[in-house]
Amino acid sequence: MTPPYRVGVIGAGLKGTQHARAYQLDPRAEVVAVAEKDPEVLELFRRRFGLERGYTDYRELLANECIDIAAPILPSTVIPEVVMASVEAGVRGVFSEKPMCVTLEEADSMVEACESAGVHFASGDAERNYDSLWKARTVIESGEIGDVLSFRTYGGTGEIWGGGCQFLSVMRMFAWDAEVDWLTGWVENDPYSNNDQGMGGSIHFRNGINGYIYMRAGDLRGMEVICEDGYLSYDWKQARIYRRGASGDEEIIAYPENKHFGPDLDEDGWISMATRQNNSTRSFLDTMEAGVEPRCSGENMRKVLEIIVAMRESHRNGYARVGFPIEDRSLGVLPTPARAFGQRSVEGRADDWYWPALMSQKPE
Amino acid sequence: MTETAKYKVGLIGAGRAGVPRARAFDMHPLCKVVAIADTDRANLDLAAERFGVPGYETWDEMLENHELDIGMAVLPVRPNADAVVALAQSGVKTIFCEKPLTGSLEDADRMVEETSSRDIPLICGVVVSSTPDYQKAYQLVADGEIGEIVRINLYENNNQMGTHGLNLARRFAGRPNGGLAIGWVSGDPLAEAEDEHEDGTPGYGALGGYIRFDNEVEVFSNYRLPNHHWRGIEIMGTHGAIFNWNNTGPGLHLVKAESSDRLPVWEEFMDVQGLFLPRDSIRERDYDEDGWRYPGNVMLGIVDEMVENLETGAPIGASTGDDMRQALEISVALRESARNGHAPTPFPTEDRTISMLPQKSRWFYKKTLMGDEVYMEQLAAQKKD
Repeated sequence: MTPPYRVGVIGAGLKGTQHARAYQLDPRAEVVAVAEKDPEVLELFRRRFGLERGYTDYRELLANECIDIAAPILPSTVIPEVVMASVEAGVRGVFSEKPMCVTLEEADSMVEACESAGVHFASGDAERNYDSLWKARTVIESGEIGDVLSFRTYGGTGEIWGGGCQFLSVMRMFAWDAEVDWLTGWVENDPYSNNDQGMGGSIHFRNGINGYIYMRAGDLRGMEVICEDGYLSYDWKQARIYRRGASGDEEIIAYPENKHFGPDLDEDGWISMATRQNNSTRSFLDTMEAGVEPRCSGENMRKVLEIIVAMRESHRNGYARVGFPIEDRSLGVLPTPARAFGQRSVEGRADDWYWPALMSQKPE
Repeated sequence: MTETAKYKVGLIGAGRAGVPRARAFDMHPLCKVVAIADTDRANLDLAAERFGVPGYETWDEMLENHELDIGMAVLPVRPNADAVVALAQSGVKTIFCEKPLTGSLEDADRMVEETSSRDIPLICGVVVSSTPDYQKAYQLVADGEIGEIVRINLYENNNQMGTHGLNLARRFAGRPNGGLAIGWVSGDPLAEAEDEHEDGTPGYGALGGYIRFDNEVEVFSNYRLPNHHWRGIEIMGTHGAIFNWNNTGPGLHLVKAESSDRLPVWEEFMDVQGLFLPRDSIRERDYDEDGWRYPGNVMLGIVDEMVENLETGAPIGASTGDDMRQALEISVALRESARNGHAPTPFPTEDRTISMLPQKSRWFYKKTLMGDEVYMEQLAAQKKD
């Protein structure tokens, strides 16, 4: 067996801790370094993962530690800088959190830098990483329920870049990651705001698949992928495949339900692992080993941001058709304050939510 | 049919569709078909003999010779407008016109204005949107039975200028008369006709798109249709849905989620039983004791409504000429949007010279398409002589 991949976690907050725990559980990886600007959080992380050293400046980590994988689990406004520095430092893989940036330019820089340096780049503990969805994709690819015709996603309210990137990524996956031909879109609140918000639209891929992103919430949850002879229903918890039968659509496959973190503790005293985090981390290590495209790559997230920007541009221009690619790469979406600047930037959140959540990962 | 019938009915177009529709009026105790007009001599002679009434080769002749109460135009689409206008100007009290109403906005305006200015109801088409079940469903939606409408989804080609699906969607939306459409087509958006031409020139094909009515109800229409029985229309509400598997037959369902704790996925909806006729409730077109073939529930229901309106002034719930004009408006806007790079296109359309031709089988006389022999066989089968 090759030596485990040496992981440097940059951002040791709640999500950084969850990523680190998932790496710790996989024999192919070892968390060897951490950077975190908050000394108290850094100390907790160091203690939990048995690290001798910790850094309050990620640049020191990159300069002093030999790591294979950089894990920037950081606010969106910080991720691009750290990704670029990690590539510069010579890492072989970057697995960041999402939303991974604010502008298309930033997305371009990260994706292109990783590509030219041969660095595997993934973004997000994402729905798109679920094993069940990739198994379902294989079933659909086999022709079991015919070609994909269209899809519909429900509840594009709230924050489409911060949260909706999940369903847009899954949507792209079942559109075979085809290029978008054109779309029309609309936003929930203010089309002239660059802040994240709910969006909806009608999207047309170059391979003929089309779909609707429903902005108005209140009828159904999840999404449906409509195929010639059946459909996939996915509600963020479970994927099910239905096929045309003699007496209507019959369920032919129900994949196991996804499990969240906890509430029970594992034998090491950690909150029990969530299916998604497990699948996300494991599939990224598969990418590192086999050199295959990450399931939820930085490239995917770049395309997702392009879709989001296009939906808003459509609204700004009277719901006009927007063709792809988007030429103005300075466009972007600022995620919600918690995502853009960190959970603790939201007033009251540090004490009310952040610390209890962080401590619950491994109660002491 | 009775000798004391109160309402005299005149039929323009005694073809395969005209005859059974006229028969439906003849079955009503207050109605009697008294005259028939058709430019096709063979059809005219057969129908005149079967109904025992005089036949005329032009509608002008028929209208000159009879004071009709009820006028019927059951024709290929092209002459519909002139026939309806002639009926309205002749002084009939109510008009039935077969669908599609017309492909021309100007003609649609003419038909609606010539009738509405005289308070003449213009009912259009043997369409499922006119049936009691659908009228009940519109009311249930309006009464909030499924909560607030979140959206309407349509899965169909929207041919015949939206006669079925687009008309249904608008009716469920509360009959709004304007909005915005972003459209796309399966064929050539610049084509005038729906069908491919004989020389291979493509038609505009199926219509799809996004429609936002002025009352904010959204319609998402897709013509990429599964092979299996995907729902033809879904009216999605905050507390349930109404749907049908197809947009041309019975089989409506009202469904609700069992629990209100969480939004459902479709499979968690439960059918509310006993509200609507089942999908297989279409009565066979068998023959009655006089040898006439059964003209169908939908047409008989329309006749009942039209006569009740004449008798009592009761409102007619069946789809009207104006409903079909609005469906045409949406169809035009969808195709104009596709013609202009999917630009958002408001409707009603200002340019009233725009028209779109339906499938050849709707535009041209079917006998010329089907051949004399097959057509006359089908016509003969309307009654066992």
